[in-house]
Amino acid sequence: MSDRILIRYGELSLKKSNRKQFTDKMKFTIKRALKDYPNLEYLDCSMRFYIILNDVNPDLIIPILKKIPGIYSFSIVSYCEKDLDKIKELSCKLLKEELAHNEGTIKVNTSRSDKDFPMESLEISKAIASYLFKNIPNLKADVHNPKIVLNVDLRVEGCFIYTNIHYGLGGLPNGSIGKVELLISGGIDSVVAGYLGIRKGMEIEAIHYASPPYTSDMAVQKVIDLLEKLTPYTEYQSITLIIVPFTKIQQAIYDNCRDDYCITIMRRMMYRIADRLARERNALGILNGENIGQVASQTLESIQTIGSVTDLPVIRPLSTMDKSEIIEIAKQIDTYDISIRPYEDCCTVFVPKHPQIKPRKEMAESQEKKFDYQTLIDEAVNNVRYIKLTTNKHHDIFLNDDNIF
Amino acid sequence: MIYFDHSATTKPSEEILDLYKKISTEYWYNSETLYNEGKRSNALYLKSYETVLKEMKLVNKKVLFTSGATEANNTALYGYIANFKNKDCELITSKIEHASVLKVYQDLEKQGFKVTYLDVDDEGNVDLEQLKKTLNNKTVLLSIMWVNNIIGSIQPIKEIINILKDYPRCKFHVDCVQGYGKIKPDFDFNDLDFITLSGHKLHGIKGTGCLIYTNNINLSFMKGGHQQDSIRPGTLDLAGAVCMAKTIQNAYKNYRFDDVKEKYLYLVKKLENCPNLILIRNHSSYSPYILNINIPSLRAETALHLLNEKGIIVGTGSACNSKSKDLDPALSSILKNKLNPINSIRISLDSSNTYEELDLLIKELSSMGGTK
Repeated sequence: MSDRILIRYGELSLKKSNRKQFTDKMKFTIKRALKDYPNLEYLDCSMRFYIILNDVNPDLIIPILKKIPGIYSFSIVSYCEKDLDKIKELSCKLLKEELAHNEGTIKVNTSRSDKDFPMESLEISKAIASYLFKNIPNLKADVHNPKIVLNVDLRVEGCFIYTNIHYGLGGLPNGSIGKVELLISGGIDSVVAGYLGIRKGMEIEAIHYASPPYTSDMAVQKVIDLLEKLTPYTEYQSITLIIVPFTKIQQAIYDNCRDDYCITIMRRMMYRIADRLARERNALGILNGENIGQVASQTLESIQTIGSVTDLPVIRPLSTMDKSEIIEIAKQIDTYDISIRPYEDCCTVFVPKHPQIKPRKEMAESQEKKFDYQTLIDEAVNNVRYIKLTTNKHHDIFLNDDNIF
Repeated sequence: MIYFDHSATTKPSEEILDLYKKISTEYWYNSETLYNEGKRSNALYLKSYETVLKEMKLVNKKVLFTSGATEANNTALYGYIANFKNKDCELITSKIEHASVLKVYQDLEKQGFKVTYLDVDDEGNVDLEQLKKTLNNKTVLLSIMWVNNIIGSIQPIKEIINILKDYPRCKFHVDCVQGYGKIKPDFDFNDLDFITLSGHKLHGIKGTGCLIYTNNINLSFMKGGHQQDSIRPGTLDLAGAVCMAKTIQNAYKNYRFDDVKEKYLYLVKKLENCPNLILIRNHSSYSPYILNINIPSLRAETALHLLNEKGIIVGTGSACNSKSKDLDPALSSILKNKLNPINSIRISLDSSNTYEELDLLIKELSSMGGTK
């Protein structure tokens, strides 16, 4: 009976002049996310978007739609001709399906944007309600706190009846804001920052610094597994991971610089590399999981000293959150269990006993003069490895027989 | 030998045998270890897992690689019912399930669960009216096979899925062993809570099978390590898992329904007028891979040996009963008292069977025993 999904866009409706650009992006993003269901058809009506199910089980579609940024809400609806008797009958049938033992309280809500329909909203609601009470014995009306709201949506393109509303992610269509480079370590925070960036419309590329043999391939695999949790939220169902060989730089810092400045300088190098890659790859900023005060490198002094190596905007969606709030999101997007895998990453090896919590820019600069970091950065950037991650296709760096299946 | 017992088992394909050998020799490292060799084994396990989900277009499902369908059925039924310690629930199955389902239900009944065994009609169709009457809010498990292994009747899985929509508490287990790869489903595998598959019935390796189940279902059966979500602890049989996944992936690529149906109908046409034979078959909803033939004047065992001497292999009612003289209860449920199950042989086809082979079988069968 319920034959289509009605999708409502969120913040999008605010964008006046470039609205079409946004809605087009939404349309294509939704189609790409659902490409495994070729039977679906799509219908575009100004600010609304319909997915015609053609017998595809909506339960399979719902979790996918809930991951698409820019969708405010959606409902599984039944199409009906704009004929009051037919509307009454279908309403009754839908309600019976919904109610256990034909009991419950309801409210009928009509919205009539098709002004050619001869009755007014209130009259229509009343007519439907009285038909329902006649045909469903134990049904009661309750306009304030109904168990079920029966929505009747009379539009130019037809009448749509539904009783459910699913809330989507909100945010903006992914890719509508431009590209940023996400610095990802493998911990709890950076992947959450990535998720929040994606939800707000940013296309992301992920940069991971690997320091073999101090860090293992398992740490890289962990980052891959994390990012694979994020691909369903993206415009093209994919994220590019850039792996930067970082061992030589870390070694040089450790050999040449003051112990307490090692972390500060290491992070300045990471930012320099991110800045380089961002410019080469047309990204507009750097996204990371920094959280003010969480560790020595995230004090305001550190953030200032470290951030001064780039003039690209550095976006820190987690900056003021509590750790518990971050963990909550991590669990929600199913990355938490991956993040707590115990492998070393480049931020956990070479940790000095007493890192500087109030590093000064001048001191960092004088320490950096002790070695030729520019050459090392060039070498690292020239030797990055790219891995493209895609929804529903697990990438395993340990898999070396990829032609079995 | 001319082989007509493909529902009992099939000859493994060269491709799968080669694969088994490759995995066993190149990937013998324990997949649960942290060194790269173990990680490579694990990667292949994950790939096999993903392949099963992808091939069957499954969402929110898990895959458990098992030693075969019997273990998969036992794990699904015992494992799920272990969640109902107070036994305040009801279970339903049909009278024509495979022993690995039926006997579990009988055991659960002995343990104190309320069990209903649905009747079947003369053509092996499960009684849906009885199902509707029996279902209630206490029903937690229904197990109905997709294709019956003895007479080949196809059960209306899609209709049952629709009936179950009113009973969200009831989980649905479907033994798909005789259907998968042979018949195209008219239902979505996602609508089933448990799916049982077997490798060796599809030219895979013996000792391979799998259970597919819905994500949030808690199955507890064995105790041990944390392999395969702790449901099937013990070092993973990687070669088995890879071969099972490959068998599943190949199954519909080797889809030969039309060819087998033609051969089946040829057989039926030639045999249905033989005065000494009675074909036990479903006329509307049948798998062409299975034909049950009753020879009233001859015991199945005798018929089997006579054919065997002529170089033809067929099955009796259910090959699983070769060690026991007990009659297959499933076949008795279909034949009721009209015919004796002891006289039934089963011809199960494969597209590799030729018309010459069929003609030989027809020749031998038509002259077997006296008239009815």
